[in-house]
Amino acid sequence: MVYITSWDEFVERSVQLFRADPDSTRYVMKYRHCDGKLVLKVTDNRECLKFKTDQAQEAKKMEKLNNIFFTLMARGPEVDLSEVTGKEQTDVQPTKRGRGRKQ
Amino acid sequence: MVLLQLDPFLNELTSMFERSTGTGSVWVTLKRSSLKSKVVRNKMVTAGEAIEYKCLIRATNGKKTISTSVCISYILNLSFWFISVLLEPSCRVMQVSSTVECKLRLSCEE
Repeated sequence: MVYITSWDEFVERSVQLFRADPDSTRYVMKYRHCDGKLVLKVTDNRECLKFKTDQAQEAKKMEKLNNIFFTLMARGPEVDLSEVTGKEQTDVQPTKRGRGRKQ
Repeated sequence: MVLLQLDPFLNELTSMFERSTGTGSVWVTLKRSSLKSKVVRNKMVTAGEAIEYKCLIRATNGKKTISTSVCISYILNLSFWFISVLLEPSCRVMQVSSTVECKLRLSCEE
């Protein structure tokens, strides 16, 4: 079992693993409230990817991964994930353009 | 393992999380499934029928296991549930990032 430190790498490899074998791949979340620890695991019974955290910010990122997997599992591995990730991009507030000081 | 409808499953899962706040863990597993045996699936494939897949969700606290299957129309409800029952309480328990903690410490020292 491999713990991946980078969240983006974990998400990308998890989606690839699922698309390669959608019938065998499962996504497991383990939460211990007394320790405040969350462990995510994606495995196809051959390869196992794990990600653990006790950080609140990364727990919030889990929401995006949940939506990705819900969509992949219900609609199929060929679904376009930009529908899921695209909504979050629109939620991001545009950067404010203030008055730039001329130097 | 008990197969429930979505709302009873969410109620049971919520109580499972509440009971495990002091001690223990909760595992939630998501898997793509047609809820049909391999034999039936192969027959459907040879007959040219489309197989309907759903998201099978299982939850356990080590003692009791519950499950439900979700189709695409209920995924939004499930997503809201995860936010309200799992993410918001867990964020209160989990650590805030170290950069924020440093800023707080610096502001206290001043």
